[in-house]
Parts: sequence; structure tokens; C-alpha cells
Amino acid sequence: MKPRIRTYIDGFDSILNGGIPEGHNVLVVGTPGTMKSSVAYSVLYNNAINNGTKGLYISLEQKRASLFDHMRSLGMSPETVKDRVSVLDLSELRKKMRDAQQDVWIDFLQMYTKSIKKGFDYRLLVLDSLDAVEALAKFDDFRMEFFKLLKWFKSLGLTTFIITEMPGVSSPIMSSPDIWSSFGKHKEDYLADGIVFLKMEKRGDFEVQRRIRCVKMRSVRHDTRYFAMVFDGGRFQVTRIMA
Amino acid sequence: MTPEFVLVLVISVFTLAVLVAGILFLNQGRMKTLFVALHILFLMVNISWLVGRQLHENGLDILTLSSTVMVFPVVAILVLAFFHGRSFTGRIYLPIMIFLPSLGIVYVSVVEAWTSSDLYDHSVFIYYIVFCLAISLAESIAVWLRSSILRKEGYLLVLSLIILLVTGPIHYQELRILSADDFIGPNLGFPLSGVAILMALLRTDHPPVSVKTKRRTQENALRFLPEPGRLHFVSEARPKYSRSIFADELDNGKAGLVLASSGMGQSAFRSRIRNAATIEVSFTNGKDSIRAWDLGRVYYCIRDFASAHRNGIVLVDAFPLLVYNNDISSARELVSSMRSLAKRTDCTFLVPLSLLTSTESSRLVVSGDSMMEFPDVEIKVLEILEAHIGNLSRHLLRKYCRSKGIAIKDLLLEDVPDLALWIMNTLDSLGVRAGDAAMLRNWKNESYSTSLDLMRFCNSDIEEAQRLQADPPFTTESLIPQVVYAGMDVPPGTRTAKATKMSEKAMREGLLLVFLKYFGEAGRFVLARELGELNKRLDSLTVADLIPLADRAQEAMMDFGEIVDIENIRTDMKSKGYRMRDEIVGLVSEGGLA
Repeated sequence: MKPRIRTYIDGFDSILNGGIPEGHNVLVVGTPGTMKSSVAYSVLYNNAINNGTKGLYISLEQKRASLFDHMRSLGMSPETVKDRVSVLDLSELRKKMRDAQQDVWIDFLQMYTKSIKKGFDYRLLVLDSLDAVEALAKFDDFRMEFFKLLKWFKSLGLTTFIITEMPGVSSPIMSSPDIWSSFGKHKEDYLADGIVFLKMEKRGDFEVQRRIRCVKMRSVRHDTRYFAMVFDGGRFQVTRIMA
Repeated sequence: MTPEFVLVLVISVFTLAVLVAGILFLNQGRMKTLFVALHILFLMVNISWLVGRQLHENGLDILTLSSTVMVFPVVAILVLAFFHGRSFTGRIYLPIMIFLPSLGIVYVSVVEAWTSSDLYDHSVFIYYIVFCLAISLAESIAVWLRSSILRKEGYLLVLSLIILLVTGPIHYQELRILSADDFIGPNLGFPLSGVAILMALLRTDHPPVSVKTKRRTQENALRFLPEPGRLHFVSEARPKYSRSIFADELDNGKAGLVLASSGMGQSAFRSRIRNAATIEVSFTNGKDSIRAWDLGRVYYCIRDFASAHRNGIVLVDAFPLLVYNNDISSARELVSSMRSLAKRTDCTFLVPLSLLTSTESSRLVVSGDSMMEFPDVEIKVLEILEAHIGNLSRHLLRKYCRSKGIAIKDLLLEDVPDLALWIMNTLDSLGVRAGDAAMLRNWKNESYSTSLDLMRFCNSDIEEAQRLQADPPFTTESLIPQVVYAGMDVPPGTRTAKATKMSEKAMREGLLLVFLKYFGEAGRFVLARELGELNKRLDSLTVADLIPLADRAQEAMMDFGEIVDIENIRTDMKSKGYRMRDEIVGLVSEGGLA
């Protein structure tokens, strides 16, 4: 059995039968406000704290300072793990490289992931977000390019979390019958080794509950049900949904 | 003449017509023999009944009876031979085991004085036809429901067998119930059943593959013919040569199967191969798709095709997707199975290695395998053009590709001879417009030398292929390149490239290499960007420009380092910037320009 990467989300690792197999590419899919970035960062943060595993967080849209502020507000101090979790702020580069051609962004991504790996042996990678990569690179053949990108990450021996936006509940796409079988605009969900889906569920007239579901995790016998996800005391926790 | 007599006569004429059509249009020797044998039996059943009835000769009934008995095993043998090919007929005891009981039944019927009118009353005959029809129906239904390639053939054979069943034993029972014993003996469904069998055989005999599409270089065609009966790995940056070879072979009349990835989309290649059988390797099993991790099904699909279309061609376009979704040892097993299947069936297998890492490729290719290696033509061509005509090159190349309806990235080695001629004619016509005699002479020389260099590049690649074929290295090269192009009148004394140009070219190449070394593929963009900042063009770069360019490159590397929040990486990128600057400045002496 492949070594597992624990998510350190209380209760979720047992749902995943121990964690995410090392080397997997996992899509973290969710509607806005479901804490996708926070969940992904918390995986890097907690792995760095608990077992010293190094991680790289690539942000294409949110600035490093803004991300750090947000994480601090959640009780995850970036300073505590500054030598084990690196945040690559590509939004800065986007400003500098306004004239960059579309296809060069993947080259940039590859250059950074490779050169950082040489001096900072990270094993976990968060790419925030796939939609931003798509907007920048404007792939002709998204699926093939995404396939190559995943292959690149695999060749570096990384366990990758790729954050993917899903339209909100008011979007017409959410009422489509396909929504339960598709977690990517270009069927990238078929290429990924795993999919973790986050959504907001309305409860009663006023309350909204965050829910998490492991849709797919290759080579793992996992629970496919929805679980309630709460953030409390600086930690994410999942619990069975009470009817 | 009773109405029954006329009806059976008409049926016999139709059966004869189907037989003649089969003799005329079928090509496959073994299947044709079985088809003819079956139709002779069909005719014997009906004609012996007709003649015997006409002559009031009961002795001819034995012919009706024996033919009726033999029809069923022959149908079963035909169906099994159709689906299993040599693996069934090669084991001769299998057809004999199916056919032998029919001879026993004929013998018993003679001894026991059975007649064609009471043949179906004997349980031994009923058991026998149930056996024959059951195995052939089961095979046909299984193929109809499960095979992606032979589905229609399976359907036609099921139809044919059901007709035989209905017009044989079932119709017999009807006639007995209706007490129409005089009409027992002939079979009215033979021509219909025969037509269905003929259609199934014709489908595999004449696959609809000859697509008439606009070829890019009809008259100046450079073609690569893979050796049949082998598996060929195709080493290429993008899967364009494997696709081109496959499409060429289809145009040559071969039946083709392509295991496509969904990324292939609605490309020009798709339209060129629209008559080839296409199975999409995706992530769901479907009517025309197979899941990428279902290698067993992938293999069965290929085997079905190869057995039915000997000497066909199979392009495993989605091979990288299969490797990615399975472990490498499973992929090796698949390759090994395809290798032996190619030998058995004379089919050609093309397996592109694009997108695979060199480690993965090396684990899949074994000694003795055929490996076709192709260069990145568009890059080489652009280099040659830039050495001669500078920044006009990209414009001309784009124009040429547009005239052929292709993208620059889709340029193939086979396009180079045509491109060389086109470039020569275009440059000549540009020179004529200039009007100056001295300039025209130089211009003509330049156009000749550009074309000549392009032809040399093309030929050197062929020579390399031929050299590899004569003296194979680790892998066996099995290219059989055939180059045909119009002769070019090259004036004596034409130069190929100026010495000074070569030095500049070397410097530019070196510069690009430095950028690629430090920035990876992004180096091309960074170099172009920094040159743009200096208002310079690569082709007009001078020694004096190298120093400011080196400074800018160093700054760029530091800029890239700034967004990283790890101190040692930032320091490393800084020192890389210094090293890069030194290397660029060092090019001045290497380029021979100092």
C-alpha cells in the first residue's frame, strides 16, 4: 500500500481509510465560500506542523499577504511553518508579465515547480486555482494540456491538490442533471486520482452548512457520503450529518 | 406446375443469384469457400426437391435430406471461422468435430430409410441442429452485443441464423400442423439468409476506408511505410507522424482501427480517417468507448479487429493515456500482446510515444522493436529559413501552411520538399518585383540556397533512417522511406550559407540555449521579451547588444526569484542570474564575432 498523506481534517482521514495515497492528484472542487483554499492550505500547514512535510502553495489570484491574513484569521500562522510551507505568489508575476503569451504560463509553472523543488524538497503542492490557470493559458485542448500538467506533477513525485471552482447554487448549471457526475468543466475530473467536493447546504430558512464529500479516490476504499464540515478551534472537523 | 413448385423455383433462382454475387465480390479465400459450399447445399436442398418432384423420383430425396442435414454444421463452421479466423480453422479437428456428426446422421437416415418429410421428427437430428445453431447463435449474439468493431457483422449473422431457424424446423412444424406434407423439404429462407451472410462477409472484405480528402503534397510525396506484421513505436514530440502514416495507409486501402483519446477532437485527422473504425479511450465504457484502465477490453477490441482485418493497421493514439492510467507492467503486457498479434495477423501496429517520459519509453521498448524517430520539422525548418531570410521566414512559413490548410505545428517531413519548391518560387517572385538585376541575382542565389538547405535537411533525415536500417543500433529501424519530388535545377556554384551568417547563427542558437537552460521552455518568451525591451531583433543582434541583453537576463532571473518566499531559493536564483549573465557574455568569443 502506498504511504498516505493525512489531511488532518478530524474524521476525514478515517473516511479516506487513512489519508490520500502519496503521489495522487486531487481536485478540490467547490462552490464559492466553501473554504477550498483554507482546506487545501490546512493540509499543507498541518503536515508541516505534525510531520515536517514540506509543501508549496501556488496562488495565481490571491496575493500572498491576503492569503496569510486569511490563514492567520483561521488560527494557522504562516510564520510558524515559514521554512516548511512556501507560498508562490504568481499574481505578482502576472502583473509583471502582462505581455506574456498564453502558452508561456505553463512553462512558468513548470520552471518554478522544478527549480523550487531543487532547493526546497516539497512533497505537497496546492495549485490555486485551475480556473486561473485556464484563464491564463487558454488551452486549445484543455484535457490534453491538463493531462500533461498532471503528468508533470507526478514526475516530480508530488501529491497535488488542485482547487477548482464550481458555479454557485443559483447558477443554472447546478440544476443540470449532470452535476452529480461531473466535477470539471472539461471532464478533468476523470483525469484526477481523487476528487474532494465541498458545498454549502441550506438548512431551514436561515442556516447554511458546509459539507464535504470524497467523490473519488483511486486505490482507496472510502466513504462516498456527504459529511458536515465545521471549522472550530483552528481545525477542520467532519461529522455525520444529523437528519 | 403447382404454385409451390414455382415458389421453390423462384427461391432457387434467388439463391443462385446470391451465390454468383458471392463468387464475384468476395475476396477472402477461406470464407469464400465456406460461403460457396453453403450455397451449393442451399441449392441442392431446393433443386433436388424440385427435380425429384418433377420426375416423381423418390431416390433424389436423399439429396434433399443430406443437404438439409449438412447446411447446419456448415453454417456453424462459417460463423466460427468468421469470428475466430485462423485460431478456429487452424485447429482442423474443430470444424471436423462439428461436421462429422452430419455424415453419421446421413448414414443413419439411409440405413433407416428416413425421408426429408420426417427428418425433423428424429430427435438425433433435432439435437444436432440445436447444437449447431446454438454455438453459432451464441457467438453471433455475443459479438453483436459486445464487440465494438464487428457489431454489425454479428447482427447480420444473428439475422441469418434466425431466418434459418424459422424457415427450417419451425416452418416444418407449421406444415405438419397444417397437414401440408407435400411442401415439406425445401427451405424458403435460404436466399434471405444468404444475403445476410454475404453482407456480413462483404463488410469485412471491403471496409469503407478509402476517404478522398485533399492531400497536402500529392506530387511531391515523401512517405514512410511501416513494415506490415510488426509493432512500430513512433518517437515524436506530438502524435502527428503516427497519424499521418496511419491515414496514408488507409488511403492505400488498408482497413484501420484507431484507439483515440478524446483530446483528438474534431481535427482534420478525424475527418481524414472518418471511415476507419474508431474507439475512444475515455473514462467510461460505452458504445464506442473503452475505459482507459480496462486494458483487457482494449486488447480484445484490437484482437477482434486484427482477426477480422488481416493486413490492417491499428493506431494506438491514446497509448500515453493508457500508460498513465495503468501501471507500466500492464502497459508492457499490452505491448507484448500487440507484438504477437501483429505477427499472427500481419497487421501493422503504430504506437506513438509522445508525452511519455524517456524512462517509460525505455521500459516499453525492447531490443528488436521497430522505432520510428521523427524530428521536430517546424523548428528545423524555421532555423534553416531564419539563417537565410531572417524575419521573413516565419511570415513565409505561415503563409505556406495557410495555403495548405495546416498549422505550422502540423508541418511534416513529407511537406518539406514541397515547401522547398514553394519557398524558391515565392522568393523568386519577390526578387522579380524588386526589379534590380544585381539584386535579383543575389536574391535568386539566396532562394536556391534556402531551398537546397531544406532539401538537404529532408534528405539527411532519410539518409539517417536508411543508415539506421542498414546498421541498426539498440532498436531496429524499419522505415522504408520513399521520396518522390520534382527535380530542382540548382545552378553551379550556389552557396548554401554564408560563413559569417553561420557565426551569427551559432551565437543566436547559443543565446537561445542559455535562456532555455535557465528558464526552461519559458526561455523563448523571456528572450523575446528582453530583446523587445532593447528594441532589438534576434536576427540583427550585434556583439554590442549582448552586454545589455546579459544584464537584462540577469535582472529577469532575479525578478523571477523575487516572488519566491524561500530565502535559499531566492539566493540560488540570484546566483543563477550572475551565471547566466556570464554565459551570455561568454558567447561573444564562442560565436567567433569578437
